[in-house]
Amino acid sequence: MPSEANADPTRTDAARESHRRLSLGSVESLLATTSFGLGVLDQDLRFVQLNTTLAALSGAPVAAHTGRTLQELLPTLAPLLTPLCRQVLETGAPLLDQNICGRLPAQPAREQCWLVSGYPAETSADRAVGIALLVVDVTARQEATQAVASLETQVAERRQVEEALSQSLRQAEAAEAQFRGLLEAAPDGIVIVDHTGTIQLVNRMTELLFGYNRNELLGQPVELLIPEQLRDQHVTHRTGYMARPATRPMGVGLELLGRCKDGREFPVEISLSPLHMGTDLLVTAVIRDISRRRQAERELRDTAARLARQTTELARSNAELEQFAYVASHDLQEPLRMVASYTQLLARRYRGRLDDDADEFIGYAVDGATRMQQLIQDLLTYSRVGTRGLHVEPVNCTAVAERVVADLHAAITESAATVTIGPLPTLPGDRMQLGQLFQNLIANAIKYHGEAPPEVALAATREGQFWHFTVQDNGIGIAPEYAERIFVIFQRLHTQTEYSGTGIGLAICRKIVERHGGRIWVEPTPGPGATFHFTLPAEVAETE
Amino acid sequence: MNAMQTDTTGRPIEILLVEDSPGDVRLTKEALREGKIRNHLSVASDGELALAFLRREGRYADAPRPDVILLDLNLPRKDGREVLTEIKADPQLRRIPVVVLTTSSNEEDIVRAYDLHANCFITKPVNLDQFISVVQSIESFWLTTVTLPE
Repeated sequence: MPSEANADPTRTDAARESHRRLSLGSVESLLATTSFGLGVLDQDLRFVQLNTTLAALSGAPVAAHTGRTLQELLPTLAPLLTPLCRQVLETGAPLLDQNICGRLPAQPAREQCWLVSGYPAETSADRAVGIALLVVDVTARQEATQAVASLETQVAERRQVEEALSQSLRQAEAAEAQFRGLLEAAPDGIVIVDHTGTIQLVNRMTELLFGYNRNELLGQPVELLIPEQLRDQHVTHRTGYMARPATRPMGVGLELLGRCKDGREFPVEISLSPLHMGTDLLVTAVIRDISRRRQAERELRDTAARLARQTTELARSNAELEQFAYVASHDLQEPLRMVASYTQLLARRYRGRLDDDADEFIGYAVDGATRMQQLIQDLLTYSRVGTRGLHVEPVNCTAVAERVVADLHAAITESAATVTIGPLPTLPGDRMQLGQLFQNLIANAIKYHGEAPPEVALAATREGQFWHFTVQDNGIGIAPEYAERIFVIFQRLHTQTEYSGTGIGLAICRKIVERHGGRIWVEPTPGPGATFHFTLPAEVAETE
Repeated sequence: MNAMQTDTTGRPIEILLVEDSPGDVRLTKEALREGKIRNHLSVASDGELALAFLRREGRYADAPRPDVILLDLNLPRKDGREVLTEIKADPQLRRIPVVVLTTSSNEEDIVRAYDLHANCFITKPVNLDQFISVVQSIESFWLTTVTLPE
């Protein structure tokens, strides 16, 4: 079935030929003008054939390329292209889309990039093995990609910045809220004023302290919170402060008063700190109600004063008592001496000359009077320890102790006692009183002995500011419940028949030790006996 | 009041006791009575009377000159220290030994008494036996042991 188009053979042939020529022409012109660089190299990498695009890389005309090497024409790219070509020649396989970047001699400032593909090829003349190169300039694309990447980076950075900004904004808001919370919850009144003394901000506590609503305070002069009679003065002080602002308590040494809305005044403590806001100076005043503290201070002062009065009173009555004890015992001595002397005279003259009852009565009278004399004598000694001044001098305790042992010779011999004196110090004290102290303790240790002959050891060790003395015996010991009582005057643990004595020796010891600034106590000795401990200051101290 | 024995010269020795306490006076007498020496004891109960006695004033015109004076310190009217001062200041009396016999054992009293030229200072013992022996030793020391000017 004939068609109109195919019906004209002439036209058809001409068209076919024309199409073929056009095609060839266009392929060749296409190859010549394409933006792809095309070229064939022999196995020595000499150009055999190439198009103008590829030739443009070296800047030399197309014809000038034939027979010359890559190295000669493109010295800057040859180190990158040569290995590529060699690989294709060696493997016989194409190598596609290799990205190479470098600079051309014509444009040394600009880095350019190419996608290079190599194909094994036959060179036309002698069908020798060669290589076809396809080179596409991708510099623009690369640059565009980089620009996009850079843009993306900038966008990301921007996002980060925005994120950080909004985060710090959130933090600032949180801090602000926290600050508000703190301000409102603060246990002190906080008032912020500007440089004219106008209240800018107050917290909840300020409202509570002063009885104002904050709206009544904001914008008001701060003097509203101060008693009227102090307001003028405060303005002066405030102006002074503004001139030299610093963080400091207000009105040191002054009684500061706050004034409530209802006119009530109360003691306050205020600390000030400046707050520079740009060019404006704000001042924060932290106000604390110290009514309670003042009250406590007053009470403390009253208590201290009362205590001081009581102490003085006690000291006075103590001194009076000692004086009384001294005077009484001194004045009692005389009549007592009469009683004692005459009962003794009675006994001397009439014992055995009356009846047995009379002898017994006289016996009790003599005994009673003698004991009373001893008591009064001891009482005198005791009160003298308290009323006489201390004569403090360096006392060689070893010498004093040896003297005491010599004085006690009779008692020591009688009881077959052993008295050991360890190394003792020389220390400041009253020689006579220390002698009495040693004498009483050693005599006691000998006196209150058990079955075995008494063994007494006097020793001392240095303990800080003090010498710690011990008088250890193997005697009858002291039950712990009496450890305190034995140092009280006239307290005795035994009847006269068991152990004679007035119960004043240890009271005197305590008084002597305490007047010297030391302490005395008793502890059980491991095994039988007791150990008396006392301390004496090693250096001169205030003892009175 | 008079001891039965005589001293070597045959006359009883004269003692002046200056003491305001009758109890002490009697005790001293009793102590002297138990002693071995014949003595004559005169008593002045205050300082004024003691000096009047020694200076043979008024009713003491015939008073004997004592061989020894036993002087208490605490006396009414004129006390023992003043009496001692006046005795030792008086050329007629100053050679008579003065024994201060007192209840005091106060260091200050002792020093003061010797400063006023007391011949000795004795604290009265509280025990009778010791008191008797003290009085007797005073007697024997000052009246028989020491040599005094005639």
